[in-house]
Amino acid sequence: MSEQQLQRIQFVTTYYDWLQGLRFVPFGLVQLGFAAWLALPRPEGVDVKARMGAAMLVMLGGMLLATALYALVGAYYRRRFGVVRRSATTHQRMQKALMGSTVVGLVVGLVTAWLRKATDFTEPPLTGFLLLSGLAMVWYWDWSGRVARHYLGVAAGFVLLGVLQAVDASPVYALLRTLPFTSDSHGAAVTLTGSWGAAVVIMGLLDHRLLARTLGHEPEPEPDSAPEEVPE
Amino acid sequence: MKAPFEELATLDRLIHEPARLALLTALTSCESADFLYLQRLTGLSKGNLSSHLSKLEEVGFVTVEKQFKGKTPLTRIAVTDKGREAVEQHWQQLEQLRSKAKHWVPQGTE
Repeated sequence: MSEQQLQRIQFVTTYYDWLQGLRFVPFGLVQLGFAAWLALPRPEGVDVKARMGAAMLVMLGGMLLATALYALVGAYYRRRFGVVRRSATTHQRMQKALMGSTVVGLVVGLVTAWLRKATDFTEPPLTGFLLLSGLAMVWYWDWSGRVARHYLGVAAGFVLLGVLQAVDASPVYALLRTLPFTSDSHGAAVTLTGSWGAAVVIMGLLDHRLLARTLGHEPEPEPDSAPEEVPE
Repeated sequence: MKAPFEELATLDRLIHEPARLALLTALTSCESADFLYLQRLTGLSKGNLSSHLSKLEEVGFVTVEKQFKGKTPLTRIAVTDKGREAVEQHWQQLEQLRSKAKHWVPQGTE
């Protein structure tokens, strides 16, 4: 048994709940749906507030559905791969990480809102947000024990998108301008919501693959006679 | 000085056996895991997994708690402090061996 295999066992057992990736995919899809809605051009003569309110309601409905699916898919993981109770230390670390991320998210949101009010900028600092997202992914990879390399891939995706945005070569904006039924008037919001939605979906699928590979050993068939002698 | 590969023989085989090392590595990473999880992790049959767990339970490295959730039997396995200590010691020993092996020069080749 290689050291890498043992590291993977440690990682999967420690973060078993968070690696049940299929549970998070619906949340990413809802976010992608919201990004797609933002990309649609605003029809003339329609009340902006009412349209936004309706979209928010649909998104809330989507999130409720995603939460129901989260519970259902959790039952699938318990039946297929079993149950692990996390240790008190891991629980504390996870709580701290969640609290920390929430605080950082809130601070970034508040600073953006303040900047929007205090200055005359209309678009959020998208490049900064994308680079910060990439940095957050690198931190997550490091915090979780540097095992899941796909987190670095997602981080690289964010950074690449940020750099392309900085040099005015964003593929999202290009796509929004090219497609006949989309508009780039909310390009920044579409890019940010869409990239996070895609990141959640990709990470969910790859986390699931990692978990299924580690726990994918179908049990040996039961011998007819007594179990074979295990080595001392 | 003993050659590193000779020192390999001094490793605790109760822990170093691949299936048991995988089991203990998983159990030291959580509070407890159920039988199905450990079976999916190792791919062992129920009988063989039970035998490995019995051996670890005999020496006091793990505790096995059998319960019922409704009509479904539920077996929870947790590592004890003694087991955790033994695994940590084992890792230290492996680390030392690895570092020795890196610097080891066979006699007569110096």
